Amino acid sequence: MTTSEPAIRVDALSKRYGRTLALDEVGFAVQEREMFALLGPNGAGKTTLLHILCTILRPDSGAAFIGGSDVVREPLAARRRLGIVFQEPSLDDRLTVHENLDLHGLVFGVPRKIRRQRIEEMLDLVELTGWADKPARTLSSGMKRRLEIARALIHDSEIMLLDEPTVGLDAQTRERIWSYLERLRREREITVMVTTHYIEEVEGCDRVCIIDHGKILALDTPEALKREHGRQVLRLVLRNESDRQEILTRFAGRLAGETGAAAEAPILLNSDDAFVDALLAEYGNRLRSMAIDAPSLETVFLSLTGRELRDQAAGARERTLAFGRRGGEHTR
Amino acid sequence: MLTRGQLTRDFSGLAVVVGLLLLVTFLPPDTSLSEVEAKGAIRACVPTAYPPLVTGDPDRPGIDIELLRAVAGELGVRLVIATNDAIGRDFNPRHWNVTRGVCEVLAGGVVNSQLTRSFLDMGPAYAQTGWAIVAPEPLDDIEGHTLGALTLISGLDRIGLASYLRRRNVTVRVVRSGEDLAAGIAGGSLDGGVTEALLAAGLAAEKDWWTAPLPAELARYDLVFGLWKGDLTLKRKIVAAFAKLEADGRLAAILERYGVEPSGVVPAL
Amino acid sequence: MTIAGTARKPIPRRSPLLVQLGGLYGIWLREVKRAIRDRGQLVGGISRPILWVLILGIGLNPYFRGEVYGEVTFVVPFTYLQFIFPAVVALNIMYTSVQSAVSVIWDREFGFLREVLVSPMSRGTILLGKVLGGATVAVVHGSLVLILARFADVSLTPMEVLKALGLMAMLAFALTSLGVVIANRIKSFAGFGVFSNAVILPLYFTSSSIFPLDPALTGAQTRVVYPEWLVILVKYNPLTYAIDALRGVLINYNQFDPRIGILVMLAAGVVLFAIALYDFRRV
Ligand SMILES: Nc1ncnc2c1ncn2[C@@H]1O[C@H](COP(=O)(O)OP(=O)(O)O)[C@@H](O)[C@H]1O
Ligand SMILES: [Mg+2]
Repeated sequence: MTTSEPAIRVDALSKRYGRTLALDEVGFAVQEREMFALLGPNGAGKTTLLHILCTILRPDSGAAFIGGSDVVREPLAARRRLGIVFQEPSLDDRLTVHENLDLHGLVFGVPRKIRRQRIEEMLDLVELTGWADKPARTLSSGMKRRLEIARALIHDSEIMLLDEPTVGLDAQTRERIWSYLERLRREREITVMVTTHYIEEVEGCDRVCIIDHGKILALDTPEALKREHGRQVLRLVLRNESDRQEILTRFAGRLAGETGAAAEAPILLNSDDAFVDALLAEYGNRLRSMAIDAPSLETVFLSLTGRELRDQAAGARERTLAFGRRGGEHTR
Repeated sequence: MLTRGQLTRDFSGLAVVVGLLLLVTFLPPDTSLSEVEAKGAIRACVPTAYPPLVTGDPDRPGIDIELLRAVAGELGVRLVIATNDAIGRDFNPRHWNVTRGVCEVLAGGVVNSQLTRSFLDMGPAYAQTGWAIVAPEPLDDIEGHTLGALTLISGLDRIGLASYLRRRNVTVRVVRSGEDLAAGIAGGSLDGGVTEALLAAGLAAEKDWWTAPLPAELARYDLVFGLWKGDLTLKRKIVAAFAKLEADGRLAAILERYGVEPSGVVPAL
Repeated sequence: MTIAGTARKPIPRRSPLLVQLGGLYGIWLREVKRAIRDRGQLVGGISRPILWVLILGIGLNPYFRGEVYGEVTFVVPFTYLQFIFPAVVALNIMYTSVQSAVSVIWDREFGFLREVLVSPMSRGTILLGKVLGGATVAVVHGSLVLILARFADVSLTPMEVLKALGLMAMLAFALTSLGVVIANRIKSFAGFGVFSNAVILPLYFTSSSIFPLDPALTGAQTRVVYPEWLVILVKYNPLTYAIDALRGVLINYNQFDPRIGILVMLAAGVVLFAIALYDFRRV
C-alpha cells in the first residue's frame, strides 16, 4: 500500500434495488489508521456500501478501491486486506469458538503455526479464552460479536469493516466493543470503518459520515459537524391543544423537524438562550415539559435530515431471519 | 485443535449408533431354528441312492447322511431322513414334491449353482463336483465316441454339457441310473459315461475303471446342503456346526472314508 | 494496556493452490463436524436402516421365501431381505446427501456463506468442499447399513466392502450435487419434509429398489407383470442403475450391466456438480 493511496476510496458509487436507490453517487476516502464511522438510520444504504466494499455485491456504477485495488476487477487482492464483521451473525453455531476461528484461518490460508498463535492472541484480546471449547451457540450475542471481531483479525487484516457491530447489545457490551476497536486501531495500526445508527457511539471516531437515503449529508470530524450543523434544540410539550397550535404557527420558521400529530408529541424548535428566555416568559405556565438539547451529533442529524435517529422496528426480512434462528435450528 | 473431550463428544453419538445396529444383528430374523428345536428333529430330503453321498447301505450310509447326522448332533436334535425316489428319476424338481412341510434340509447332490440359488439357500460347501467322464480304459479324446450321460444331480449345467458334447461330435445316450450306465459300459454299447464327478469316482473305484474331470470350460461346483430361503437362523446354526466339524477333523474323516478330497469349508456367511 | 501480542505481523504468502486445498479441507471438516453433532441426523441414520431392513425385510420375507423346491413365482437368486439390503444402503445415502445439501440454504440465509465468499476461496473450492463434506457424511451413513449385513444374510469380503464404498462415494457425490442444485433453486425454505416427499421417496420407490424387474423376463413380459408406466419410470430412473451396481457388489446380482450404473453415477456427478457450480457463481 503506497502512502499516497487512501485505505478505502469510493467514487460516485451507485446501487439500485428495483425502485429503491440504495446508494446515490456516494464518494469519500478513508485514510490509513483512521477510525471512520458511517452513521445513518435503517435503510440508509450502509450495508449496501459495505457489501460492495467487501466484493460480494457489484455496484451499478462508480468504483471502489481497497488499498488501491479495485473491488470489482481485483476482488481477491481487495479481500485479502479486509477483515469483515457482517451485520448479521455469521458464526457457525455448531462449531466451537476455537473451531470457528480455525476454519476462518484455514479458509484465508493462514499457515497452521501462525493460525494457532493468532487464535490465542485474538481470543485473549476479546476476552474469550475461557470459552474456546464451547459451542458458538452457547455464547451471548455480545460474546458472539466479540468472537466475530476476533475472527476478522485472524488473517492479519489491515482494514476492518464492521457493519453495526453494536446493534441490539446492551450499553455495557457496546462500550466494551468500542474499547476493543479503539485498542486495535492503536496497537495494530489498522483502519477501521464502522457503521452504526447509534449516534452517541461515533463521538470518539476521527471522522463521521452521515448518510441517509443513499446520499452523503455531511462528512467531517465530530467537532466540526457539531460546530457547523449542531444547534441547540428545544423540546416542548404543551398542556392544551390551542397553545400547541399557536406555537406551531407562530414559530413555523424555527421548527427543527417533523412534529407528530399526537398532542403529546414534542415540538422541536431551533433555539438560543435569548429565545428560551422569551418563550419561558410568555408560555412558562402553560408548558407540561421542556428540554434543551445542547449541540450534539443528535441535533446535527436532526438538522440535516429533519428526522430523529432512533431504533426503528425490525423489517420483515429481519423478522424472518430471527424466526429461522429460533425455530430453524434443528433443520439446519 | 481437537481436544480429547471434543472428540469423545463428537464420536460418542456415532458409537452409540454403531452399537445399536450391532445389537440389532443379534435379533433372530425368523423362526426356522426355534421350530426345529421345538420339534427336537431336523428333517432332510435325500434321494434313495446317490453314491457316495447317499448309498442306502446302513453300514456306509454315504457322506451326506453322515454329515447330516453330525450336524443334527451339533444342533442337539434327531435326524429324520425322508428319502424321495422321485429325485433322480425326474428332471423337474417341482415333481419331487419337496416342500417346507416335508423337510428343512435338502441333501444328496445339491450344488451351489445359479439355478439352485434361484430356489434354495444353502449351507457351506464341503466338497467340489462337476461333470466327469468314466470309462474302462483311458480315453485320450472323446471325439466321436458314444457316451452315456447320467444327469441325476440337479443344479449342474446340463445345457452346457450337452453343447460341449455336441461340439465334440459325441453320440450321447441318456441313461436313467448308475446301474444302467455301468451295464452299458460293461456290455460295450457305451464307450464310457459322463456323469457327476463323485458318482463317476465311485463307479470307477468299484469297477476299477478310469475317470477324469471334464475340461475346465465346464464349471465345477461346490456341494452343499439346500436350505429354504428365508430360514436364516437355521442356516447360521448349520454353518456354525460345519465350522466345528471342520475344526475337529470329523468332516475330513467322513470325506476320507468315501475317498473324496476335502475342499475345505467355504464359509457361506 | 499495550500488549505486544496484538501488534500486526504480516502473514507469509503461500502458493494459491495450497491455500485452496487448505480451505477445501476446512470447509469439508466443517460439514463433517456439523453432521456428527446433529443428533437428529444420526437418529435418521439408524432408524431408517432398522425400519427398512428389520421391519419391512423381515415382515415381507415369508411372502418371498421358498415353499416348494422348484416352484417360486419369480426365479431370483436372493431372499427379499438380501434384495432390499443394497437399496437401503442407497436410501440412507440419499437422505443424508440431500440433507447436507439443503444446508446450503441455511448457509446462504445465515451468513456463513458470506463469510467464506469474502475469503480467497474460489467458488469452485467452496462448493466442492461442501459437496465432498456432504458426500462423506452420506457414505458414513450408508456404511452404517453395512453393519446389518450379517442380519440380512449378506456376506461381504473386504474387497467387496471396498468396491461398495467406491460406488457409495460416487452415488453420494452425485446426490449431494443434486441436492445443492435443487436447494439453489429454492427461494423460501419450507422444511426438509418437502424434499423428502418430493425428491427422495419418489426417486427411491421408482428405482427398482423394493421390487425387482425380473431380468429373465423380456421387455414385453415385464409389461405383463407390471403396468407399462411403472416399467418406464423404473427404466428411466438413473437411481435404478446405481442401486443395481451396488447390488452387483453386495449380493452378486445384476439386472443390468454394472458398468451402466458406474457410468450413470459418474455422469450425473459431473453434470450436477457443473450445474451447481454454474448457479453458485451467480450467488
Ligand atoms: N436485497 C435487497 N433487495 C431489495 N432492496 C434492498 C436489498 N437490500 C437492501 N435493500 C434496500 O436498500 C436500502 C438500503 O439498505 P441497507 O443498505 O441494508 O441499509 P442499512 O444497512 O443502512 O440499514 C433499503 O431501502 C433497503 O430496503
Ligand atoms: Mg444494515
